Amino acid sequence: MFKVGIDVGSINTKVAIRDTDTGETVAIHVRPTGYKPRATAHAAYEACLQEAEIERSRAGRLVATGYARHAVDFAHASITEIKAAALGIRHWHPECRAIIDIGGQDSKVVVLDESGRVSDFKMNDRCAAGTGNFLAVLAEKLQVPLERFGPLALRSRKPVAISSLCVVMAESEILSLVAADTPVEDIIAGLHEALARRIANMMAPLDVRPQVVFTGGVAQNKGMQLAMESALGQRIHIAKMPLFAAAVGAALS
Amino acid sequence: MALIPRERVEEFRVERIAELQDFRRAGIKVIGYFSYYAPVEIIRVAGAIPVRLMRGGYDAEVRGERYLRSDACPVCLSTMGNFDMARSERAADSLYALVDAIVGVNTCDLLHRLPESIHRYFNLPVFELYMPRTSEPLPHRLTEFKRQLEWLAAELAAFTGQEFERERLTPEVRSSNHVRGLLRTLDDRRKHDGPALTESDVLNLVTLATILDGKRFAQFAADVELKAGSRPRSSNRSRLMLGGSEVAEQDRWLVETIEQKADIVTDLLSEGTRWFADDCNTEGDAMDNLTNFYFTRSPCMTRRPNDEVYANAQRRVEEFRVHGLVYKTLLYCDPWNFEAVRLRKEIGIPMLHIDGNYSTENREQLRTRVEAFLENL
Repeated sequence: MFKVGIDVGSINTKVAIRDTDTGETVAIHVRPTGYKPRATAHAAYEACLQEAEIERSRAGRLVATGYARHAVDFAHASITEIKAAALGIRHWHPECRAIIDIGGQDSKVVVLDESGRVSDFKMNDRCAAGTGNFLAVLAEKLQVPLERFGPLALRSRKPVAISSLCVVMAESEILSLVAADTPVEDIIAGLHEALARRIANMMAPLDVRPQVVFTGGVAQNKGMQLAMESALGQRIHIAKMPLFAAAVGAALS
Repeated sequence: MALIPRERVEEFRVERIAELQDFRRAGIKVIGYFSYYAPVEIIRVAGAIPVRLMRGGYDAEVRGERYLRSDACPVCLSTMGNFDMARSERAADSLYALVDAIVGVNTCDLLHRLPESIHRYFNLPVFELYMPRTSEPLPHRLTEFKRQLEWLAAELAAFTGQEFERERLTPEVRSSNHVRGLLRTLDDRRKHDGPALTESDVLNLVTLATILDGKRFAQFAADVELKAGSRPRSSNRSRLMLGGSEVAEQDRWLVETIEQKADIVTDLLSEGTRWFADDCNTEGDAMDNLTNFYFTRSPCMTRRPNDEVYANAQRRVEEFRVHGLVYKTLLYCDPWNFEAVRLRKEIGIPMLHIDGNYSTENREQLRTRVEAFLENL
């Protein structure tokens, strides 16, 4: 038998299918969410089943998560992405006590107790500051593909201080830096540091203990991992399959 | 499910506006107020009709930026916006179009500035009470506060052109006590499993109690009591306390969203259950009684010391068997926002703090936060 998790995020919709007999994740699928989350979730689900050659009748329980979870009206249940991320990350990282999840629309810090239960969480959800969107918008401004942000940041010798975390204000700040002929890798490293400071501030009032696991789309960026480690003063582990942690968690619930 | 639908509140509002228009045609003044520290008994004895103005609304908040800085609190911004809109054709029938004057109480800095701004921009007479920020009822403070109440009585009587008949104060106090007593009886029904009333109901009752005539409200409260009594009682949902800044009439999205998944059984709001928590003494000198009552009402977070707020919260957590606290503060409402840290330490139950204005911009994210909080209770 199989269980399915669908994570309908603001940028991507992710599907994970677990074989309940072996405990293995046997199929994953990702596609852009677009502006019709229900239809996208349905199409992603069907595509994932097809890729894994699983008949729909054997798919079993389906749990939706992510910001548009309530739009998935063919799901048997829904859980928040906070609970889903906790389940998914803890499954792969049994020692994890805190999760940093930087997604397209928001960023979250989730604190887990010894048993893996969510004991506290904080979310930044008011604007793009502190989210993956912050980097995405500025990547466009700098005309650098987002996937090159990480490698370029690692080449930086002297990251510049970026004081604005508002995307609009940061754009102006970057214009001044570009005009002053600042190397692009130093600007990108500065952006990572600014974002990392924001996350560190969000974590400050929480009882965060090792191991800290970094997940969400931005966790694929190595430069961001180093900036987070520097801001927090501790080692950050990158989640196994960061994009799919919540979908796997939903399938585990 | 709420016993008092929003539409019913709006029907009452329309009826009341028509009544107030008649009163005004007969030369009777209508006085607007905001805070529960405004002594409505004095307004009534001075021959005027008090109505509380707490409509809120995002459109009004944005409109208010024509008059106040955009980092003023949403209550003050929306109040200015509602006054502005009441002067346009869009909202000519609102309560804001009917008031002849304002009684303000300076509970916080912005509520001190608000009456001034209303006077400056809308040319309404304003009578402002200076509530001491210190809540300990020391004799010299009570003396000064009583002097202000006497001043207010004389000023309002001059404004309405009526004699201030002091002997009418105690009957007015009894009438207010009666209304508060009705609300307490209804609120007590929330101690049981499957609470008979929702928080939306309680907030609607407080809204109506501050707009309607006392007798009309008492009649309605008796009907609600009957309906509440016949409700089946069973629920295995989480029992929550809602705390924080003022919840305006058009700022109910969060309350209703929580109530889809859990029961809000009590509150620690700026003006929810606190509004009917205490009664005023009716023995002895009425002005002394009013002085003591308004000075010592369960304090707003703006006043110090405010340990009584915490003691009240602890009592309610036990009496109403509360599992968790959702604490919603309004953007730039510093007095209530500031207390979130202490509250988290002292309340002894899980707490979710949300800070925002009246906009709809991040509702789905807020829904996630609320649902995640409930998942973990």
